[in-house]
Amino acid sequence: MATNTLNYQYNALSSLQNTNGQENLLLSKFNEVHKGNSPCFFWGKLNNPYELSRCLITLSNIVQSSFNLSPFQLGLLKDPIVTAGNNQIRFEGFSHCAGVYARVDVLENGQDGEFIENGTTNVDFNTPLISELGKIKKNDDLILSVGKKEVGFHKEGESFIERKVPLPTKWIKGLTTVQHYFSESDYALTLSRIQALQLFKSIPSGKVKTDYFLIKRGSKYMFSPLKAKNAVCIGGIHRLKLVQPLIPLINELKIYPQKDMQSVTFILCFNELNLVFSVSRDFWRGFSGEGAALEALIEDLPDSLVKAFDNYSFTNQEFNPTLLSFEAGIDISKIDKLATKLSAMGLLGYDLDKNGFFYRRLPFKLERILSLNPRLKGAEKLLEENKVNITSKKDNEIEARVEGSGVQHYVILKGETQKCTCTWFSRNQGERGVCKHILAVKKMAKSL
Amino acid sequence: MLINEFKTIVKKKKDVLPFLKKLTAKEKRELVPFLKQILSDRRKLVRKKILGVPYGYELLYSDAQLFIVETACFICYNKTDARSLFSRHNMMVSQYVIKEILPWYVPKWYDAFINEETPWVLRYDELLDIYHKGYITTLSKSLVVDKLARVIIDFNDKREVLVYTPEILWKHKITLDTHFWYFFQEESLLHDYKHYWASIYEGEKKDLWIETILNLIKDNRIDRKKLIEAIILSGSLQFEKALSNWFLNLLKKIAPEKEELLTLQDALFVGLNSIDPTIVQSNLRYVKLIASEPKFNRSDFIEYVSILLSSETKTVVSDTLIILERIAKIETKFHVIICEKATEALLHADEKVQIKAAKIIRKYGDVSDKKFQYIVQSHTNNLFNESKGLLKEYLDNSTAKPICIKEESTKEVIDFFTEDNKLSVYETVDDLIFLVQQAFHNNDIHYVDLVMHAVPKLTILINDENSIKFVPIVKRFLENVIFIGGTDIGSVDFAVLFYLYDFGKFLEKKYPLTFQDAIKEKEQRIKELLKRKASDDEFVYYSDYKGLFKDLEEQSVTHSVCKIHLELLKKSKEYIQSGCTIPLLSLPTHLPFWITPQVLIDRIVLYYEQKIEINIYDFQIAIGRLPIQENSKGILEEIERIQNVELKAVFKYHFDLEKIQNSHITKPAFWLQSVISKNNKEDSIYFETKILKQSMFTIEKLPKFTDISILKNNTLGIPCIYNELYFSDYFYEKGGFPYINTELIAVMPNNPTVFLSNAIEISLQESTFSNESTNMYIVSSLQLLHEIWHRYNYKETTYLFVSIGMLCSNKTAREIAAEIWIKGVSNDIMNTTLVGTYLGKLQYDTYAPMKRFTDIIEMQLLHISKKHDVQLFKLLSIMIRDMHDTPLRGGKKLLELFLELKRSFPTIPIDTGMREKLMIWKETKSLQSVINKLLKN
Repeated sequence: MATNTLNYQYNALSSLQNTNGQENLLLSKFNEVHKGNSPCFFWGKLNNPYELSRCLITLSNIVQSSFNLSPFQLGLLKDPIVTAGNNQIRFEGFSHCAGVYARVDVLENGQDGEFIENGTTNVDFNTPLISELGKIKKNDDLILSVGKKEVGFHKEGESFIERKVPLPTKWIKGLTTVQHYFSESDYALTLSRIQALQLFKSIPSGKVKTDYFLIKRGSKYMFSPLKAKNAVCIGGIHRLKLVQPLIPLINELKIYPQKDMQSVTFILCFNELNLVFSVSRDFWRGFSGEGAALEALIEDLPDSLVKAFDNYSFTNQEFNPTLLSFEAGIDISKIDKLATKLSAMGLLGYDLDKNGFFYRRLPFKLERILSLNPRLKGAEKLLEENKVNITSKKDNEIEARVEGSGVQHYVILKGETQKCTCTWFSRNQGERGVCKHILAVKKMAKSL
Repeated sequence: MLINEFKTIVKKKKDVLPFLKKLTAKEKRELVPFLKQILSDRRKLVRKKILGVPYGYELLYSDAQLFIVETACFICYNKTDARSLFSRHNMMVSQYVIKEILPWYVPKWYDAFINEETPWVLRYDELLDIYHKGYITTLSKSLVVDKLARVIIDFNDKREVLVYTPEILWKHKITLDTHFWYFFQEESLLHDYKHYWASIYEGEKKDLWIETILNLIKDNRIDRKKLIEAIILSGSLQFEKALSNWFLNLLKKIAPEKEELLTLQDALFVGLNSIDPTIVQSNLRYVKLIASEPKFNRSDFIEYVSILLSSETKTVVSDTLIILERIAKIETKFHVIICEKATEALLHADEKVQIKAAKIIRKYGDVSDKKFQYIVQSHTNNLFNESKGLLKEYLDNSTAKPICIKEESTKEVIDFFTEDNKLSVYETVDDLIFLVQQAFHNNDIHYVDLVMHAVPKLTILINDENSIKFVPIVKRFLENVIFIGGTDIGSVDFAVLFYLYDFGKFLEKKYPLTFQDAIKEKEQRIKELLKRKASDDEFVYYSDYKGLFKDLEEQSVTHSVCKIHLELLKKSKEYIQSGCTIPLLSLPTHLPFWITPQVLIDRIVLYYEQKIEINIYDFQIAIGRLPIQENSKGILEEIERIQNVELKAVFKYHFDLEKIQNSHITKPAFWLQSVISKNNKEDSIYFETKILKQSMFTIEKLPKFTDISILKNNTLGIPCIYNELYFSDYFYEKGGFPYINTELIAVMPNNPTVFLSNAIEISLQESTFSNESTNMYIVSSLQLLHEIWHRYNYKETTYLFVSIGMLCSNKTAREIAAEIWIKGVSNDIMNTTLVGTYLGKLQYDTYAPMKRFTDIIEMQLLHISKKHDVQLFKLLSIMIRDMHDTPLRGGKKLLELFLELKRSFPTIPIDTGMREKLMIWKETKSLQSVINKLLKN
């Protein structure tokens, strides 16, 4: 089916070439959503070529890795996406299984170049390019070009590289969910390079099925299989080995667990360069299936507002809640909900280090992103078919019956607690987002 | 018309090419459905006839006819159809196609097909032929390397032997100019030809491709330097392990000269980033060769040092330090950076590595540099004594306090009952709904306890109005029970599902109006199921469905170990039916399974007040969950509230307030768990000989590794939970074993030794666990043991299990076993002598590789606190004393770690037994040095 295939059309292969002693890294781009006219987003010098190359190689290893898929599924190629804007360049991607997310942030002083146009795009990451990146040294001059600067270099409209891959549904869903988890993550601690090296040495070998916990013994941090009070919990700890080769190069390591330990994020800090690395609750659980952002999507926002926001943020390349509230006349208290919804729609990313959202419109069609939430669609269908009946609504408590397949499900919303008698809820206990019945009841309750 | 013509060709087996040549594109498309139809009928059989009389069967189409059809497919099919038909089909590259068809027609998809499918039968020279003739326009690297790798051998059909044909390599200019170099850019099977040389040259052991390449160099057919560079750079492409090792071997055979290596430094350095330690090791070996040369690019190398020093491979770290020292010797300007980098090696918990790094720092470091001094000091806690000695000047002024030795860890108090570990209480109908619906999905080990308690307690809150909420749940109970056969859930879960199904039946009966429709639907569903036969897919376990719908009391639970739970579930079911809301005695109040004495006494008082008979299993489990140490001040007053005199005495005995010998015992079943819990030898003998007088058991029924004498002496003539465990079935059956130790340990957290017997038996057979279930079983048992570890005087087998845990193949299990020891030592509740003894006995016959244990010492056990180090000293002394006279592999490392401890405590003498063992081990040359140091200290 056409909708299940994403057709990447790159105008050239991404490449790294040495001209006059200067390394030129061209990242060929493709975007499903065309915004702006320039073929090139960024052109300029990168200040930490060696560390950046190592980070990009790690990102490439991450997008090629998988922790729960068959070799056939592994064979499918995935390209990372790049966002250029607000004086930063961000490269991001997922493992095949969508349980590991990584983003390389080149910070403001990490580059010295020209942001010709702002935007987000898929970029071609081919094997020879990655191999060439491995040759970059500390004192090399590295020029990055996201998209070709010289339009005339290739024939207009003709694509040199065409790659049809099954639509990375997991990616797109994961990319929206992970931002939501970031916004719910709190800073826990910072480790020096030495402490981080010690910590990573304690990762057990092989595939680990039990949870591990980050503990401190004496002055040393380590991972332990035993639960300790308030310890950061990491499922599928072997996934951290993906970034282990970078640890000797970092300045420090920051750790941010999600409030319910549904994900843990590590920020590897280099000079003016960060690698954000996040793992899902367990190696067999992808961010894509978590449905954490589902509730945000039931917030009703007029299309005109979303469009206004999109244009506003595209121009300004940032998500400034106060300014937006002022200019769009929205109550500041609603901005939080708006931000969550917009990130769930793939329009915002979250910067843990700065503790705020940034504008990053995923290079996929909006309708494609929204179509990827079956639970949301299911909830809407329940409402359309009048299958939701709110039986009691008190101050902070709602009881409802929702017609299921030959059975009436019972939904209760009480303060922070929300429960349903369906099998999905029984199995996951709300850990992976709410079920369609709860979503439907919540949506109906909002309209009452 | 077109189809008829083709039908005739097929039928008469005529030459199809003239027909195909005249087809237009449209006609080709029209023919496709017909071709597909024929191919789908290719295996169809028709009756054979002789003189009109049928006598057997034959295929509808002969091979010759199918060949005509496939030829037509080649001309008419599009890429998708062609791929489905011709994938792995020889026809695509057959001489017939190449000679008869391709000259006049090349399908559009042919090029892509050949490049993507890389047909096996296509030879390299044939590939070049079709390429040169323009039938394909691209040659992908993967296709070329696939064909080229096979080019140097051929099979001589006449002589029926393999022949070596390297001359093909220089037959076409493009081969050595371009194609040969693809081997270093694309994954191939070059390494797979190592056995052919022996086949061709009668047993000579050489690698065919390596010999070929060496000859190509010798004959100047390829550029040697270009080749060396290509091999080195291939290391960064993450080829399959076997192939990259083959490349390293090739490089070794080529033996690059220093001059060559010096011109290829950049390539060598790139390989230092590789994630494959073998490649790093190899490249570093070459770097080491040139490190002292003036042309060696020292500053570039130093950039890679951090990565190299963090390697898990010891040789990589050692070689890096050697190179650093060589650089330091030559150029003083690098001293500062070299010393800073060398400190990174101090992170390794390996004494030799640390010493190497410390020597560099001592020799080239600037002790007056405060910043550098601070860097060195930050490693203090990680340093071995000898490294500390070498870095003394840096550490003397240390402001950082080495926690490892100076800190006296204080004894922690184990608090059984806190707000944090309190179990939630279920109070409302909604609570009940969401508890019972999790029957299949709740992995909490308390689930069965909570359900047994909450269902009778909260059922009385259900009424006509709210009973509707249970309809979907009750419906699911039925589906769960139907589905049960196809699952591998544990036996206890099994019993819970039957229990809940009965609860559903109870609700249906009590609220017929509410469940009216559901009952009809259920009856219909059951009716349909009962009609089904045993061959249905979902029907795996039961020979018929009838059994599934029987009452709990009539269910036979697969594994008899679950009988205790089954008994309690039956009791709870009785409470539901009688409307009794009183809790079972054994319901835990705090994690993992503890019950507060006050609550248990409250429950007993209530039972007596309401004249409810106490179930003996329930009581035995309950008192097994009462921590024996919880004899706080007010406990006597609490006990006095109990109405029954004998129970009162049991509690007093349990909390050390009365001697068993002074008690009047009429119901030994009340006393049994307390006697086992307390684990007092004198009490056990008294209870065994004076109280229990009749024998009901045979020895086979008892677990092999139980050192509870009461259970071993076959004198249990009283009702007790152990009667229901049928150890003979459970512990000695190797196949189809239910790994449910956690549920069983939960029955007796005070003294779980009896339930560890099976885990011990399994582990003793083989320290390397081959299947995932065993791994999980041992890990979960140890995890739970860690959680409940609260006393010193566990039985010996409990300590045996901890020792096994420290040596088994599962690293998580080893870490948890180590944590049990650490927790025990911290709280003065660890019998280190027993752990040491068992470790020694296990290693006497090399139960496990010693490295597993020494790694645990380095990573977890060493230098936690002075108290831990003293205990570790003791543990190792006893362990070494009890080991075999012939030292094990890895014994040296063990001794080095002991030496490290000895240096920390020079005044503690070495145990005589160990000293004797050391004298015997000293005969082994490799151990002499470390033993001499030990004996000198």
